[in-house]
Amino acid sequence: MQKKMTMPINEPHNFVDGNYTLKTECLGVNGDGSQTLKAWGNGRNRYEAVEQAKKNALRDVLFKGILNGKSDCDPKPIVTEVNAQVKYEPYFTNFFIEGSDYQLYVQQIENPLERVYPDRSTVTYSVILKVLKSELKQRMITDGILQ
Amino acid sequence: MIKKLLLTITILCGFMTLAFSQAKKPTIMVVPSDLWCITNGYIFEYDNQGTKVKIPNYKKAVQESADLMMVISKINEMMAERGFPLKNLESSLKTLESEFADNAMLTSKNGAAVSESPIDKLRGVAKADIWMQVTWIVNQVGPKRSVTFNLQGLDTYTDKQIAGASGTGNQSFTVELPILLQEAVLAHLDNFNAQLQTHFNDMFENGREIIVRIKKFDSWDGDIEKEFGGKELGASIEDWMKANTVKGRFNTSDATANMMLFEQVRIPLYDASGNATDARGFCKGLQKYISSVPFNVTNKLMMKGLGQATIVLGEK
Repeated sequence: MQKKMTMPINEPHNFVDGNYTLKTECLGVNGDGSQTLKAWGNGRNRYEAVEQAKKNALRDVLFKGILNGKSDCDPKPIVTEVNAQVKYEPYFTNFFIEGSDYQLYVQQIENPLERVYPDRSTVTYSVILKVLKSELKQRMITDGILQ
Repeated sequence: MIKKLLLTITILCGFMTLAFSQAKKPTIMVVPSDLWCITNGYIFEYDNQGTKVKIPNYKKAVQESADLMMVISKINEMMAERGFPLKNLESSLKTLESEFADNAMLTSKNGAAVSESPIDKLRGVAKADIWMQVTWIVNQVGPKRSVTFNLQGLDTYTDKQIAGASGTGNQSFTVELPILLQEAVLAHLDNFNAQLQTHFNDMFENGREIIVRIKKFDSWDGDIEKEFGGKELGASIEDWMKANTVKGRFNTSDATANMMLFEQVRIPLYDASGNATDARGFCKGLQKYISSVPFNVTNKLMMKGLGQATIVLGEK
């Protein structure tokens, strides 16, 4: 009987402290204005962790800028208004609801790469994503967040 | 099947090597410490509104000390290898000479209010994020030499020390100072850089820290406790600070009828239009707020260095 070979998980990251802040990194910028990012997300299972990684990547692009990884990505966030996340909290809460509009602006392009177990009940995954930065910025302008 | 698997693993490994962390790094300027300058006689006096103040004479030090040039060069080289953008002290001094007059006084149209030392002017010209002060002593034991060094990383906006490293290198028969220094510093430099990077990352997350002072000219008949629409001017200024600082973070260290002092004021790195802003740009907003309805108070903005702003109420 043939034995199935399973995909090895990157071993060193299994021992990463669960409290370590894993930051979104830039892997490159594409010609159409989208950015390829490596983001991390935590959840009860793989699906939840990947969805959280997508939201984390979008939040970083919107409010913080991408400071880690390659220098190709613009370190400037899309929304530069001070305290915008608090000021427009109802809007962004709605935007990031499970299954809603945020999914239009982020695409998963690789299966989750690295996996760590910070505690018994959750799992953290890293995932390679494509964020449609130009379209996201236009959405912020259309919705009145950006002038 | 196995070939496909191996190919996939290779591609994934390629992705992982791409994803190394190369965070945005602060700009550094390496300068000799005050102690080194005073010990070696490179000081000069300048007149700070009638008081003689002694400060390091970087220009004389750079022109006369070969050791200093070698040390700065070696540290610049080591920091550049680690990806930190650098501002050169000698070039900044030359720029300063060509841009500013020797007179260190800044005044309002009616009289002196805030003076800026030549060091503050140098910081304003260089616009480095971190001011790296270095001190060293060469120790000699018989034919062997070693270097004891001290590195201090200072935030140019607040003068706070945000990183430090010190130590003594191994004794060696080497005569050249740069080599002795490199041996001494190498073990400590990465830890020093990690401290700098932590501070810089905090700045991106939580804003840059500055100090804001509100004062009034004697000729103005109002004061900071004057009421506009049932609310004191001071309280309105605090509300503006709360709305315009990152996460509403600032500290009212002192508040009287004639002055207010805000410290640990966290300003955003970009304004609402997405342009990079600094302490002056931030305070222009406050200046506009005070001079508009309902206050209509004329005021003057004065900067000291990069991170200290004073708004004086009453006149331009």
